[in-house]
Amino acid sequence: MSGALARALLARTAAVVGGLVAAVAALVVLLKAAPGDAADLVTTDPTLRARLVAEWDLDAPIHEAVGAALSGRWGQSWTVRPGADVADLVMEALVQSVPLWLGAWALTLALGIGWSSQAGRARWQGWPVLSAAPVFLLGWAAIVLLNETAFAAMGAGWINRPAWFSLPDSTSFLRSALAMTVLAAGSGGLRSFVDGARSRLEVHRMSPAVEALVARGQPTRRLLAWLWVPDLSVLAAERGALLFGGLVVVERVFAMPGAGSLFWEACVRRDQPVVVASGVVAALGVALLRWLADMTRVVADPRLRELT
Amino acid sequence: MTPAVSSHQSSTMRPIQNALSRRAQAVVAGCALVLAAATSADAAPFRYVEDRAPAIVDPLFTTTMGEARLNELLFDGLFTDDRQLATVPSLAKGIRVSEDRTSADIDLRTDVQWHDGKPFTSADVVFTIRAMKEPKTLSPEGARVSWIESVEATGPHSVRLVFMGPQPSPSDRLHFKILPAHVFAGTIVRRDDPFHTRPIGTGPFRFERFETDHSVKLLPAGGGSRASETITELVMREVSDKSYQAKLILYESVEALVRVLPRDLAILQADRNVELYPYQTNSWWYVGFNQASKPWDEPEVREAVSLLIDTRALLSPVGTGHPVSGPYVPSSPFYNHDVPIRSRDLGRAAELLESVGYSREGGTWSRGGVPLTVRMVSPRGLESAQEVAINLQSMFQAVGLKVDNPRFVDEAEWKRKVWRERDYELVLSQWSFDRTEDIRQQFHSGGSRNFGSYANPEVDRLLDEARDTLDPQAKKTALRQVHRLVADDTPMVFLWTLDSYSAVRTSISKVVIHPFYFFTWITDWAAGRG
Amino acid sequence: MTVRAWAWLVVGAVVFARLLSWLGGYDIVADVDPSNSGAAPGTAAWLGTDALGRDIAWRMVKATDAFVVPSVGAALVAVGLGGGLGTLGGWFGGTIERASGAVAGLPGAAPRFVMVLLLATIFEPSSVVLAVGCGLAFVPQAAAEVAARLGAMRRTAFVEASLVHGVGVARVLGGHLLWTGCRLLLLRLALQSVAFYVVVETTLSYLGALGVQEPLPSFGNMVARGLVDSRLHLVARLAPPTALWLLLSALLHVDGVVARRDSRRAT
Repeated sequence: MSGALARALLARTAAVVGGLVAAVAALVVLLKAAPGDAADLVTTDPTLRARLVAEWDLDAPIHEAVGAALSGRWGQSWTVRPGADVADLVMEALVQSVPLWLGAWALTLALGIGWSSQAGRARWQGWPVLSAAPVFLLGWAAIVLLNETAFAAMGAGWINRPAWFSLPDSTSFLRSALAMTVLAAGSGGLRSFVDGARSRLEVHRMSPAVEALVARGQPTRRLLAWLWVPDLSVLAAERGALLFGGLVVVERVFAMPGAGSLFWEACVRRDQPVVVASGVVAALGVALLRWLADMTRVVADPRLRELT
Repeated sequence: MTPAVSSHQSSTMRPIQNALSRRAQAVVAGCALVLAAATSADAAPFRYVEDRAPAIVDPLFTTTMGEARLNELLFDGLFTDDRQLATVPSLAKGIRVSEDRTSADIDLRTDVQWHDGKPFTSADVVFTIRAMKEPKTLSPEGARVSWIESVEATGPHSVRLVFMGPQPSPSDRLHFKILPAHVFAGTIVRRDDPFHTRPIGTGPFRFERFETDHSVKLLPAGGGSRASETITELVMREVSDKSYQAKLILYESVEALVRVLPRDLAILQADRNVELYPYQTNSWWYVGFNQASKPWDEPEVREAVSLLIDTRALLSPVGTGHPVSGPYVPSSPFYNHDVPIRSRDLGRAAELLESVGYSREGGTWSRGGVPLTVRMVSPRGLESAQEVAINLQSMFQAVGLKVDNPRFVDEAEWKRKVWRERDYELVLSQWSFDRTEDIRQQFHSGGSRNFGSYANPEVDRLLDEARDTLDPQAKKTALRQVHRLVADDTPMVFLWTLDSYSAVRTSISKVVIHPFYFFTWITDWAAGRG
Repeated sequence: MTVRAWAWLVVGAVVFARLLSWLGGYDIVADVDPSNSGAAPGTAAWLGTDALGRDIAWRMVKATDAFVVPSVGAALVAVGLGGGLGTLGGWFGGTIERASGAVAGLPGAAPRFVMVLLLATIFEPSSVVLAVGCGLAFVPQAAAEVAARLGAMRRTAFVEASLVHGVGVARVLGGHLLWTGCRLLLLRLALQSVAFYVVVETTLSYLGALGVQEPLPSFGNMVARGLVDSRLHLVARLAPPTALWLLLSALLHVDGVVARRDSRRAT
């Protein structure tokens, strides 16, 4: 590995780690500032409340809370699953969310790259209308449409009760596939990815290097792909980070257990350890994605090493 | 999850029948009928929904009604309610209260086993009460045993309780759930104790497992009840979307809905396969005044505001119910039916406001140039609170009050702002009481829930009298007088008690619902054709 | 009618509704009439009424109050703060660029929706909190893109020449670089933060009543109530989500148009 590349990688890594530390600190500070706390949810008895505040260390200084958050000493859940180890809770939830996230991300990349690499504009001009709907609305519409159709067909005697009925109550492949698709396509995410990828591809198509190849009658696909990779890595990282947030919505709408619904529950129930742990994990995920994108760009584009 | 028995049966039997002789076909058909009858008609799963899965299954740390309902399935108390809501023994066989009513000897049943097969003994009762009283356990249920000074085992199946003071009816206060002593290391029980991942009780159902989707699966514990013979498994499902809960019961995905939203009543009523069960809870809605803030410390202003409310018009968009005139539901023995329900009286309200210096200027009631402004806060999680608050805002504005937009706050913020810091002017909310209907904490000047700063020495005296008397009739008289005084003082505008409905599919029969705990009499329910 | 025409029509409808809301004199409190709940569309209420008898059409007009100003606020936060930090970094480069990039990158450490959800549950959910949160969510992207573009333009010959000839930094930066080179980029960022605000507000309302609070009408609380209340007429139930869908489609399309122009300008 060349010195410039190594320095570039190191600098990028340091920036990512620094950002992560600052973000966790900001999260802890925000939570400390929250009016109302978990003890309020358990009891209004002042004596019991005082004991809970002491046991949960609600009055711990900020630097101690930040240190505990960063070192993974998350303790036990207060109100979501009282007494449960937070690390175990979050890991179990992650195991359930990762396949959904990975599937949606892969779908976005596959559809996005495929669509945006088509020369010219997409034939169906109306498809952005579908993609524009918020994730929850798409999910609601899909669930209601499928359920009502199936229920009417069952009532008319046309079909037996399908294994997936009724959504999203029962665990089924259809529920997972639907959730993945809605997560990938909703809130304009897929459209934004396609637009971003296509615009960068068009810029590269007009670059001098590509034009030179065209002038010589040589294929441009490999060069375009190589030029496109850094842009795609950035777009993919951004899309992946956005999908983390989308998990919260999709898991709630489709009644799927996972890190998103755990985070929601923890926010509403003021379960600070779980919020902090989930926030740290989410920030880690975003940082990892951005680091991977950065590494890809730096490796693919030597010019970027000189700018570091 | 096994779907409920449905009318959409498969037709896989036909190809088999064609290949066999007539006699064989008859035998096969007969066996099939028997099998179908045995599996589908006489036994079935029972699934019900809760807004939120239980955070913890441990009667020591119960904080929500969903958890309380689950406890009803898994655990028993020393005493329970019969169908007339009178106290009857459950884990106890009987109780002998001393003459001065400061202690009681309780004989326990000898035929009860925990779900792990160990016998139920007096050690379990002693453990439970001591654990609840133990300060280091941090149990929010500790108040339920604060009236018990000490407990000791006087035999393998008998205990003696000594009370803090004379108790008129101690068995009424011994409905809390008993825990197995042999599973715990000591009376200091922590929230992370393994018990909550594997609860063991004596109830009609035993814990099987937590599912990954937060549902809880229970199995019959045996015991020969109709429910245990006909319900193959009982599943509590978490469905946070209340509107979807009604759909689930229509889709035959669940068998029961604990509480039906008013907007879903019509749809469920129209379905022949769903039965609606009305039940009365000890809960009533109110608009509360913070008498520590002006001008709500003035009784004339409070009374005037109460006369500006058309209770029936306020109630109609949210459901059916009964207006109340005081702090009890009309079916309560403590309700004073001689206290009339306050009707809207704009003229009288105007007189009251004018008597304290208000005048209607430019359509708005003002005093010294300052308009009479209503600032209301309400808990976000209270069903229909938004509709009521918005309707109330419109009602007040139409009669000349200035009304800020009502604020809806989450539970933690509600408890901090209203209960703890008392930083509010008006609240719209609901009080719910258990079988004891103890309003002392709300209306006694030293009450922990008297966040409106209401104080009336005569009410304090009567509440103390009701608490201390051993004569049920004297208690009734005192509390009815409290009803009258509180209605006159108007620390709150008492609105209504709502009719509540549960929905249960007709595949479940013999359903009787406990108004507070729902499942208290589930042993009589039957799934399938029962 | 082309998609583009539909998009401009929707944007125009929003502007018109905003004006109408400002001039129209509709009183959200006085309109409550439970005796008229769930009414079908008619001359009195063009899109029917909700469970409290309130006119859905008027509430949709009034709902523009709930998102136009706050979403513009979100855009101002994103463009102002993010664009400002990006300008600093892009113009000065080096350490200042790294420092401003680090500051701008802070809100980006958490996924956008997660950050706004946290703010909504920590502080009282209101249009101000949501607007600030949504604006902050776009600061990292705004700063990075403005810094990259300015940094590239900063090294061009005409900029060097202008500075040498005594043209003030403010004019070069503001007039030549930001206005000429970055205005379409900033417009895109503003449009995206507006769309994000609308999506977040409606999503939080649907999931847990954490969007704009009643009685103030917003697309969020109207969608959250209407979708699930079977007492309402179908038109009353579907009008708010349909309007929401069209609005977001329009914003997405306009963003696409601006993006293509910006990319053509860049090449």
